[in-house]
Amino acid sequence: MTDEEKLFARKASGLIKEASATKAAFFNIANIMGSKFAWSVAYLGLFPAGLILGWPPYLLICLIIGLLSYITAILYIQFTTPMPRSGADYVIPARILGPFWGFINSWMIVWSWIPVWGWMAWVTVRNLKQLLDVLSIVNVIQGPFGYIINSPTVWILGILTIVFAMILCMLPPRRYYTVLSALAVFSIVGLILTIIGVVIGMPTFESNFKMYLGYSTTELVNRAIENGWNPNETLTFNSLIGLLGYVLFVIGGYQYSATISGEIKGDVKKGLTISIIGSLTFFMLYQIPFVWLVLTGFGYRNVIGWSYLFWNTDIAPFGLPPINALICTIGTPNLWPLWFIAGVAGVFGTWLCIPASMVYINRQIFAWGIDRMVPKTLADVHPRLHQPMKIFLLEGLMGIIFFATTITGVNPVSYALWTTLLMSTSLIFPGIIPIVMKKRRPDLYRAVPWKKAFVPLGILQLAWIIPVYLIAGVYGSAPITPEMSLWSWAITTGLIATLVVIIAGVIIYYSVRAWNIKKGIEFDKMFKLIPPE
Amino acid sequence: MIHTRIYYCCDIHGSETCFRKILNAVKYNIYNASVVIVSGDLTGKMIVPIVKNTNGTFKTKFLGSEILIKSNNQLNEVAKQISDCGYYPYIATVNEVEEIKENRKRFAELFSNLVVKRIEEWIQLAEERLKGKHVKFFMVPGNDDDPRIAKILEHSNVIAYPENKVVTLDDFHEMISIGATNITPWRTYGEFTEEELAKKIDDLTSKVRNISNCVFNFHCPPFDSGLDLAPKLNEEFQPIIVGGEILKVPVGSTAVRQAIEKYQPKLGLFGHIHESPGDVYIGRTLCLNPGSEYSEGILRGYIIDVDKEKILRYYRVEG
Repeated sequence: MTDEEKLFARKASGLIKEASATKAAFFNIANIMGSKFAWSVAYLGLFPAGLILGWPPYLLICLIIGLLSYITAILYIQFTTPMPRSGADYVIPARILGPFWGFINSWMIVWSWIPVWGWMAWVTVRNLKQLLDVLSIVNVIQGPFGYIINSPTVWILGILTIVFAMILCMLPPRRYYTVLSALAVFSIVGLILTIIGVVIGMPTFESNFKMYLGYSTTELVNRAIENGWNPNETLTFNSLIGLLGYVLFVIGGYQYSATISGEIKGDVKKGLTISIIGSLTFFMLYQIPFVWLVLTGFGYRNVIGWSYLFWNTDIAPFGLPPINALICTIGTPNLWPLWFIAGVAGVFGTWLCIPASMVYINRQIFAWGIDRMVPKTLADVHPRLHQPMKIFLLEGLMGIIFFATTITGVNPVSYALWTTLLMSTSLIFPGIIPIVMKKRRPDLYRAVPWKKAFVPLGILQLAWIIPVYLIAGVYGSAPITPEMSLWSWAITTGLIATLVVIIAGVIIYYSVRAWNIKKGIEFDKMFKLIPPE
Repeated sequence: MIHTRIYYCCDIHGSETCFRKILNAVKYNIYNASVVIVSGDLTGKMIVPIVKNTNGTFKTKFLGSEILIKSNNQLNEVAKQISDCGYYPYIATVNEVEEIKENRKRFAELFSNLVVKRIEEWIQLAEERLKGKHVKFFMVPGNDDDPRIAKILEHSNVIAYPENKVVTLDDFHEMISIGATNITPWRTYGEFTEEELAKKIDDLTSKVRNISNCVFNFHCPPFDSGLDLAPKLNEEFQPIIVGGEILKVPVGSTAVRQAIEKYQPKLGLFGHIHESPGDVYIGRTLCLNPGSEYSEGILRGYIIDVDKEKILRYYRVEG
């Protein structure tokens, strides 16, 4: 409200929420970072391809998908602003497309994330072990630290990782967002330290690399070539869609503040704009110039060749990928405390993904409870902590179960189609909602910001996401080969497991609906639009 | 099983959209409720001046945007948008706007007149749309509401005005209503000390035949019930910030809380604190606060089915 508007207002209390726009942005950033943080360049060997326009194709794909994602980002701001809700990924499709689609969309999102907690717990423990490995390279401590990722240590640390995330989530929302933001800031400080490490380490990297490993970076590249890497490989259709598919799914998270929009303080449109556009821009900055700097600083062929060796052989330098803390330590070993801090920040950056996404999922299950999609008691908010504690306990339990499955070798996130299929509706619905909203919820449509652009952006969203999703997400992640039977393809790609989860969601929805109707709850009227005229 | 269905909503704060939705919910039998309770606050919080320019155009500032209005159609459209959000559009010259800014008495009079005018229009609309509907339709003001609206509500043919009365909802249930609240920092129209509130409640409950089946329709939620969390304010009415965040405290009424604990009615219907919606049991009493999103035009409410013995079911609805 402007000062002039205040003159004409009667004094009264306004809506008070717990998350500021900045904290909502850090909430998104915490969701984005995940495993990508400390391993910014370490994954690139998975997608080896030559340079295009002097850039690695990965960066160009990040730029293209990132720019297209601004369409999605603006749409999230537009359709969330008229009805800010906790659990908006469920609530908004439920109110606009119907309760079935709202439930199925969020059910699929929930199941795309739950196994990730188990996986990320393992990744956090692994990153911790690698951090100690880096310290042992500069003789600060003595290794080996392999026991950390073996029983029983890995079990203890992994479970603690999930329990600590759960405890952080259980803090009162105000404190939770503050702690999460502080840790996200710390992780970003780690990134800045890494940039410094790259800049000052460039002149000495080559000589130090030879000093530690006994062979030069040229030899490193030759070893990679001997093991099948082609540094001059051009971008092929298959490598293009592989990269597209990867970037499409790592970019997610910038829009998650929409699902805590019911908790954003003050002007919701402003809060969502700052948090969503801000975190997407952070992603672009962190993925593109940062990765470019590391690749340029230490040499494109050196870094990608190293990464290739890690993913495809067991002769990677130090047995490690080119993680940020390691390459900085090689560059300027005497400044190891700084790179250690960057490494610790990287471990936190990885771990933060768990408490951030736990709240993201928590709010969706909370919204189910409010709408009687699950027993209402699940949505009970603790009177002192102001958090739906039962859901966090359930999430912690599920996280531990999937950590156990990760350790024993079966985590559904490793299936090619698991995340791809479960994220499908959340990528496509942002395009459909604008097209149907005017007819189905004219009352909400009236309050959409930048209304003239709403439907055109929805059409643009569908125009880019559907082909990219089908070609890169589905075909690119799980190509079928002639020697493979359809059944074995469906099993090994996780198609069957994913379909089982989706069908279970459909059965649960209709069972709950029938149960509610039997109890006299007129289910369809819970969200029925009353004519506003 | 014979039961009574109650539809309860509150804090629509002058929103044309929300009020029309309430009437349409009855007109089209959307919730099939036989009792509809619309509790305060009923009236809006702000006048939005639309300034008439000398060249025949108009301009206004609304929701952070400056709008230039070039035609009567556009003027009507903007005025409707303002009313839909619960505010009062007011067309005036630049000089008149300046005068209203300077003269708070003039502002208060204008505000009161606009409030009364809208309530009168609402009652007229209700009489058209509720005609022939066999629904008990109650409207009770809240602490924010100008006392002048009470008289308008009292004289309606289709709307019952239950403030400070014992009214019957069906053969088994009575309801007592108090739109006033405990003291707020804003010193609004309907505020009493906790002692005064306790006395009002005790006076009303003494007239109830069966307190265990009674419905307490009080605007102010019970203290520390989870339905009453609001920002703690300093002496300048600014929220107190601790660690960069707004400090929230329970602001409900201790008198209401004690009354619920003492009398244990079947149902408690509350509002007042928009940001603290929810449902909670205090002993055997189900306490509900639907919260409010009036400015977005979202009508939040509860459906409650009750029979002679108990609450059969309740669930939140969003129209």
